[in-house]
Amino acid sequence: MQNIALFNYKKLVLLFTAILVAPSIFAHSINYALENAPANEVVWFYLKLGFTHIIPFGLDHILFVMGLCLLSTKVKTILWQATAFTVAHSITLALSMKNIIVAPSAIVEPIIALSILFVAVENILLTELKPWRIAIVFLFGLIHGMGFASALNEIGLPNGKFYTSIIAFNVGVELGQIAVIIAMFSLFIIPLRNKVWYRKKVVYGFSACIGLVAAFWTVERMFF
Amino acid sequence: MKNNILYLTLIIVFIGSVGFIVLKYQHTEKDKLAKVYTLLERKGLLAKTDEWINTKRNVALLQNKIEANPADIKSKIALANNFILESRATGNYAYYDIAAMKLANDVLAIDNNNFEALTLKSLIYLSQHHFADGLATAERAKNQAPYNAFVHGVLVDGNVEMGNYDSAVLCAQQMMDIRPDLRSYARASYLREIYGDYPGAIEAMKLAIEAGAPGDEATEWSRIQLGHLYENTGDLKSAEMNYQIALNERPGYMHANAGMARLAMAMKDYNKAISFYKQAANDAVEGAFKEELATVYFLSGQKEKANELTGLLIEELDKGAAAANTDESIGHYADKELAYAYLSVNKYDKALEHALLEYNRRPKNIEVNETVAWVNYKKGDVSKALPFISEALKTNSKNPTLLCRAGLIYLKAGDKEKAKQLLREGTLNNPNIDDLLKAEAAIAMQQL
Repeated sequence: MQNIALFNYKKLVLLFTAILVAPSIFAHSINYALENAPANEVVWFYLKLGFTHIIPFGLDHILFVMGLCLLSTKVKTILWQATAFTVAHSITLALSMKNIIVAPSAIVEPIIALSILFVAVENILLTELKPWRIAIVFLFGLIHGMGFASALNEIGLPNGKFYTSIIAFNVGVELGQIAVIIAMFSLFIIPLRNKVWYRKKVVYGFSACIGLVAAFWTVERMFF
Repeated sequence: MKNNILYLTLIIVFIGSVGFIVLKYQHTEKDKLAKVYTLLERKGLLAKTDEWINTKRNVALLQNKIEANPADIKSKIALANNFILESRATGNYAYYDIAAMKLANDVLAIDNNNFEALTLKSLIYLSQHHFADGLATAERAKNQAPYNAFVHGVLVDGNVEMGNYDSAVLCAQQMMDIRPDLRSYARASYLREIYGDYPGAIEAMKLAIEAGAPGDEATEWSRIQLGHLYENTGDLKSAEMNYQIALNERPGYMHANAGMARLAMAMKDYNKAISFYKQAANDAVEGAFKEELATVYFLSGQKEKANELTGLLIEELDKGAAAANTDESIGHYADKELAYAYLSVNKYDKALEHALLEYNRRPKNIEVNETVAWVNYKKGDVSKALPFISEALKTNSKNPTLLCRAGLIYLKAGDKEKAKQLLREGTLNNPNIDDLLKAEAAIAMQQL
């Protein structure tokens, strides 16, 4: 019995390894136009690219970050979550662009939508932030990083400026996320957090909307 | 308590859904791997040729051999070759490129350095506009067989597309030294055209045609290229003669019909042009010649039809580009084509976005630089257009479309002398170029 269980476990590991490690199939594209450009131009280019990947083009990432903001009204808590998310997506983004891990978008994109749905439902089910939230956010960050990689692959990275461009892209993404957090706190959380109806109207309302959109995306990305 | 159960359910549902996504992907991949590509029925006159009967017989034979022995590398390579030839004959690159790529990958899974499979793979990459990948794969193939003329041809194409013109010339010379034939003469012609030597290009293309068997797709394709060279030098009679010969040798040949359509457009006989394009589209895969038809509709005053067709074209190209950008090792990069399609419906920002995407991939290619320059010019940003058009002119190409566009850009930038020289060269001998561009160039010439 034990042997069978071990065999299945090995099979499961193999299955995920086969999905995530496929360096010869996908090679990240090269941005030849920026190969000879000065470093400051490269930094500015990828910084803008990272930022615009969140605002205005990354509606799924915007909803994810909005979802993270809803369970706690403390800025410190959300910043910890945002940091965990950033560290995680930076790891998988770099590894993906180096072709060390590569996950197909047919897997990554639906899971990204699913992660948004998870956070939205969690906001409705829980009344306070649990300590494991940060671990979950980290895990989701790993998945989102692989999503960023496929977007970055469209533009490509210049040879010889891999780290400069990827760090600039990550900083751009981070600035985009911070902008979403600032907007959420200044427009909704800080002005409304002391209202008696805050949880019922703001947290439930936003989470339900985010959840519905994410559910739609999950189905769309899985089947269409 | 109730919430804890719900939370646990949420986690279980989440893990279950992730598992479902992974298994679904595995299932789809398995289906893809197991898929056996077959020939698609030809349409129109192409279905009535002996070539089609032979192709069907060959493909059936090869498929039987592969079924009997899935490790039969030779048959897999031969089948992939047949698919590539069929893509050229029918214009259905989207289907046959995937079919051939699957076979090439199957062979490489058995023999990682198989020369034929690498060469085929590089050829398919180029066909799908994955030029950097195509060039890199062709280099790998060349390392296996340094004196193979065919792979040198692929290297010429890859280097031209990446804008490495000096390397392309070197490869073409090596190719010519190894084997002077249709393929090497055609490449020599193309390179001479890029460097502005139209008489030389015409001469080399004639040699290419002479080296090929009349009626073969490669020979008639070369004849079409010769016709195009004549169009660019204003010799429409010679162009027509070549298109007619191609139609006689290869009845219903879509590229010859398209050539005849362009000549009809030059005569402002738009109904005739539409009829030729429709004939070409009838024999080709569905959806071909949309861009050209849209232009004729626009010129003949049927703007709604033109916009509708361009919309369909954009949708189609976007789909191919999305496949190329997401998970496939194949899928058609079509950002240059998308840039022009968006330009024709005045969506300048989208046009620029796609032009720059292509520029990121191959900043040294003169056609890509021309595209970025032209989009910027149309957008009204002439200062941004200037460095790109200057790069586009670096090989001294005498392509009339390029020269007219360059002339208009320099005129707007205030460099009248350069504009005058470029426009004069561009309109020399009244070449057959886009009517709207020709009219714009004529107005500009009057100002100078």
